[in-house]
Amino acid sequence: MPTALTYVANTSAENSGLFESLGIDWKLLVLQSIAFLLLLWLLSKFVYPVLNKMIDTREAELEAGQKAAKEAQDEAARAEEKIKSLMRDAQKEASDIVMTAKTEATNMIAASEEKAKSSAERIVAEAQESIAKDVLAAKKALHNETIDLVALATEKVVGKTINAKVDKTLIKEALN
Amino acid sequence: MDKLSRRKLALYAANQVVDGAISATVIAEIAAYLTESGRVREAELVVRAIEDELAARSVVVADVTTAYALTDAEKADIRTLIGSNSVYFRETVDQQIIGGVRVKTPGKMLDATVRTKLQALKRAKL
Repeated sequence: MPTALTYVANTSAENSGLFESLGIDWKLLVLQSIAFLLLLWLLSKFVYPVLNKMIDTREAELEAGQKAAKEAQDEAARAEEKIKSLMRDAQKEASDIVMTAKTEATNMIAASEEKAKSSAERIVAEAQESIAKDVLAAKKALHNETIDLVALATEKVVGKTINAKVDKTLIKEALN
Repeated sequence: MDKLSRRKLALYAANQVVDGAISATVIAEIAAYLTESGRVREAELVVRAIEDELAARSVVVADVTTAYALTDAEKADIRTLIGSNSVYFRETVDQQIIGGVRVKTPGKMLDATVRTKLQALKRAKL
């Protein structure tokens, strides 16, 4: 090291004329070089490792983020596919439900129509039966009333027209 | 005195009448017996029993109801109808029957009155 310093000093001494002619203070240049090297050493010793570590960490975080983003993208794609599948199933199920509902509605309408028809026929039959009964009762009442009138009229007429002679004829017919 | 049954009383009376006894006398005897034995209430039943016994001997008591009095010809027709010469008539004139004749003998009856025919017509009601 002293040799080097000596060489530098000697060289400096020899070149002092050159530096001076260029306006450079070689001592100051040496000190600045030493300060630069010292600064470089300090930076490489204490600052760069920290910065490198921060950069590595940041890089790792970015990679992890990218990986997570890719996974999320894949997950989203799978979810979308799953949603599409579910939608297809739901549409199919909805279509089946609608079809079943239509069939059931048709059946219900047919059953209701049949029931209404049956009920109407029953009501008509009951009405006809009731009318027939009423007609029969009216006929019976008329028949009975007619008989009463005929009997009464016969009694009145016969009671006035029968005399002993007619009575003898009746008796003769009854006995013979 | 033992109580005589209606059948025995009827047999006795019928036999007496058929044998030629006077009917009024026989009836008086029966009436006296019923009175004596306290069986006046049975008089009508005894009379019916006697009529039944007489009918069995071809002596018929006929209840005849007409609106006008019977003529001999009608009585003869009734005798022919009953089929016996020994027919005693118990006649009733009832204007309510309007016309015709009703003949009742023990066990039989002919009802050919106008009233009955009218009632039959009324019974034909539905």
